[in-house]
Amino acid sequence: MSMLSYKGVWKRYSQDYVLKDVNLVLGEGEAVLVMGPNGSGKTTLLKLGVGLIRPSRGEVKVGEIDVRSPEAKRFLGYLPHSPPLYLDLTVRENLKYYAGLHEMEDLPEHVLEALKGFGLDRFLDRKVRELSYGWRRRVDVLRAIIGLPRVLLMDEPFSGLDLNGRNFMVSLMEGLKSEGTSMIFTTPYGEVPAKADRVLEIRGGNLVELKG
Amino acid sequence: MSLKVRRIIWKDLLVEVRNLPELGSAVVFSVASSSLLGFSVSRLSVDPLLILTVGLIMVELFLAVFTSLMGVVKEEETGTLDGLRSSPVDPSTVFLAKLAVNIILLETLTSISLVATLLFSGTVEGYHKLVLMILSLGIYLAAISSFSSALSIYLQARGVLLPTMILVLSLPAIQEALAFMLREEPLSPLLLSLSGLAFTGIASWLSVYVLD
Repeated sequence: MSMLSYKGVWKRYSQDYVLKDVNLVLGEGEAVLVMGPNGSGKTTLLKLGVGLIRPSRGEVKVGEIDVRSPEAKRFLGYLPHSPPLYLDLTVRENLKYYAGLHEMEDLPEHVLEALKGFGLDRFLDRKVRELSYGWRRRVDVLRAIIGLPRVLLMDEPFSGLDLNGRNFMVSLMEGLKSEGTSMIFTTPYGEVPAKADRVLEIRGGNLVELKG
Repeated sequence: MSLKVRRIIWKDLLVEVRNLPELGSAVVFSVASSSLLGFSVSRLSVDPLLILTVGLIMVELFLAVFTSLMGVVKEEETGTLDGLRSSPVDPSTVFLAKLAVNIILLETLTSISLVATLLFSGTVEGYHKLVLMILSLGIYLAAISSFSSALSIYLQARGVLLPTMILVLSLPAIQEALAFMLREEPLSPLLLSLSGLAFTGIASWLSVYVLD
């Protein structure tokens, strides 16, 4: 069953096409790695996948639902490169706020467990402003998985994480994948600690498969 | 009120209260401008109610511009808008929650202005009418301020265009408010509140397109 599908997607900024005729179907529990240099269109691909921007042509769907509808966003989790966290709120307040947007009164069990796994439980009542980028990134990972998404889109999920953070991130991704969560994650060229079922590269706006 | 709306309101108020330099500046502006206005009126031999009416409308307009900068546009500038837009919340819910925060902030700051004016101007005949008019106008201005804030995320020269938009959209309401004070049209506060609510309805409908 396809969880997320891009059908004939083109995206243009001003006169230049960043993405050209992208066709991608993400199966259940499938992990896809998208590589490419800076400015190649990796973030655009993810933003289209979570409905933050409209394609110039083509469509993006979660199952049969248009990705831009609030209903589709129940199934999606998005980890952008810059954490969308409120600096003057504590880690707990930030997570509780996003939990509320998923209609949860309190932090769900899987987030509390991941908090401990990431070593974030000691920072729960600290303001995000007081945390380093690496720790903010960890908080943002928890924000992205708060609604137990069926599809997780992650923009360079390992950047800013130290070895322990990377290891926990890999185990978290593997755990989510084994439960059927599909994911697309991006990286510039270089070492990738997580395993992917497919590796794609954006070349001149086209999505090219590198490994089956 | 839904959990999502409550959480957005709670988060926005918490962020503003913790951002003391910004909110503090607004409070200082309210107190200083209104105290000066009240003091000037107490020393003039012209109709104090007329001067207070014009003066307080101007103060409230400034405050509406200030609160517009706290709305959606602030989320966009701090990079948190993507977190909100990738969550399962429909745009009209976001708009209504932002409007509620705007009403709370604007009416609180306006009330501070009213108290400061009264303290320095001494007893002014018909002051209760002025209070009624200013608070009714606040609802309309809050709706305009929220809508302009949402619209301005697409504007590059928002520093100039946002106040201009608020001024132009508020002119009919200011005209109505002055008519109430000068011609004693008894229905004006009701009309102001109703037009505020009507504008809210239209803006909330448009917000689906604006925030989407």
